Amino acid sequence: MAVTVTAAPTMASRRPWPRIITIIVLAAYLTLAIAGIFVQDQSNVADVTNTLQQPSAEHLLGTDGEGRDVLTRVAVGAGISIMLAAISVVLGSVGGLIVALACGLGARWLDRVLMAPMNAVLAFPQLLLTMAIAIALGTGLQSAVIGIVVTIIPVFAVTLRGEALRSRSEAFVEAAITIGLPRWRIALRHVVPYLGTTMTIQVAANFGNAVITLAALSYIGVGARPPTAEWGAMINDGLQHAVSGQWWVGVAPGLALLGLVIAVNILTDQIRARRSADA
Amino acid sequence: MFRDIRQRLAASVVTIVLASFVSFVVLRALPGDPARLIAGPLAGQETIEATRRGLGLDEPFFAQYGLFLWDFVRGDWGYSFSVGEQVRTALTSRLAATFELALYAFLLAIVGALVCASVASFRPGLRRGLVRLFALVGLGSPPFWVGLVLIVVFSAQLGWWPGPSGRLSPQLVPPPSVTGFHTIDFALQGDIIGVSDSAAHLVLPVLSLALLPWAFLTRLLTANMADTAVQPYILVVRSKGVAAWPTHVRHVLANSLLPTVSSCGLILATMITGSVLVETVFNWPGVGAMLTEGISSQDFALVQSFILLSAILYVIGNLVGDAVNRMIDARLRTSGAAQ
Repeated sequence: MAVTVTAAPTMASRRPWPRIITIIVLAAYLTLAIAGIFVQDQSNVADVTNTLQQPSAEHLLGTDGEGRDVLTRVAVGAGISIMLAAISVVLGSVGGLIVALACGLGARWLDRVLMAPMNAVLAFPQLLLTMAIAIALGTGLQSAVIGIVVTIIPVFAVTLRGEALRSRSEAFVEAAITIGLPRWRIALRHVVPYLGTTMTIQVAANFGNAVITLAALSYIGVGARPPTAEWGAMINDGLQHAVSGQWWVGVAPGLALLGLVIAVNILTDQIRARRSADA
Repeated sequence: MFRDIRQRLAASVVTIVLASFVSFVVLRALPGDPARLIAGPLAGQETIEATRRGLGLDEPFFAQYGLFLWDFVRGDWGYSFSVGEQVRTALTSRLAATFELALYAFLLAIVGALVCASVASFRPGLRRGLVRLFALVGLGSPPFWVGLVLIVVFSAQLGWWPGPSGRLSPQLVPPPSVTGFHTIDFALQGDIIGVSDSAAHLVLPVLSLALLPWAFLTRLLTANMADTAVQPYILVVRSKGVAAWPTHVRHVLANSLLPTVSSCGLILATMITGSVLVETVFNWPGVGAMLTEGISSQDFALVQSFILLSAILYVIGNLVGDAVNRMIDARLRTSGAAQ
């Protein structure tokens, strides 16, 4: 087998460039987001004498309808999107993991009781339920995050539960049961590492979705409150200038979003490809 | 097979009941006074009291839920103060506009995905890379932003198609409603100008709504076709002397269609949700745009009905996709009966 591996190296190892480029792009986004923290105060400074300026040396991405610098706001928006998407995905994955462990390793009745609400949530179009929750909790980024977390938990729970159930028939778990380890210890020390790769893939895949959902919520007015420099809210703001030709107001934040999501999705594919190459 | 279908139907009914419960809990059992929210911000104290009694908010929780379900089944979906109409009339009168948009987008997504996937999986090279890039862009763009970019390029700059101006140019009178689809209704009237005008108004919204499912299906189908193309029976077909492209379409594509078919019902249903994001961009007078207004004016009766209605459509879409799949693939039928 070792001979075939060296003779036919995997796609990932044969071409390192896609991976390097993806990592550079993601690093650039992090830098942009960090820069955004420092210019946060300027992101809402209106300048009525300087509204709707075309992209120029002074304002690289132009200014919006209130004379605010679009690049500054895109940078601040990068911080908001990355941080909130990360928080949502981390909370969602941990929640889903706990449910999956309880279902996969716990008693049969616990599995039934926990999976019923999970399946109920999955029966909804995801975006719609997120919207419903965010609407009910009231406008604000906090409600948006809660909405995203609630709809992400079942996604993680269902995927990880399957893996957790499979782990039960693995020799190392049977061995751990045989030597009499407590259930929680088996779960944490033996099953959680087993779920690692699946979880990484799910985290990456859901991160991109969370970024888009967050923007969508702000776009329809249940996420960020104006004047917060959130990408979806900025796109909504740019809509009124699209017809009259000031394209940069709405196009710039959307492009930033698209670049981030594409980079994350490519990374997800690479992790997936790597795993199937390992298997 | 019939037992199997009965089981699926029962599961769907359970799902819809659960969905109704979620939409009930989400919008009624949360902080704030539902009577005030449903009566609207301008309602006086007596109206609120009357609404509270009318809604049965003094009843126990599950009685309230039962009442909500019963009202929904009876067709009494409450009064929408933001539209100034009964919710049911408001939703049903705007449904045709949304369906017209969704259906054309759905057709574009499927045909587009068939073409793109066939081209991409035919042989590796530049075209495959381009299609892959297309899928990445399509999956990463929020539909409302796609709409904005299309307006900027094709409406504001090139002037090819109208931008955010609804379904028709203002000088035209909507056709007498037969199907509710302007394009078809105008065609039935033999009104060429009407057909072309309503079609022109459809181009950009349809593109923005279609891009996501188009990219999704392209990706799914390309992966399946790549798997099928290396099967031994494809090699047999080729060795019998069938040319590469006919083999590709007649054998590889045909044998890779199943996952696409099963996801179609779901995609059509998701597009009803997607319309929420796209309709506002183009001032499209459908239910999606109305929902956005309902959200900003805290019109909970409207929002609640829309959510439950979409969940039902979603379940039906799933069911139809599944049924079609069973009709095509005999293996699913036997394995279902064996269980």
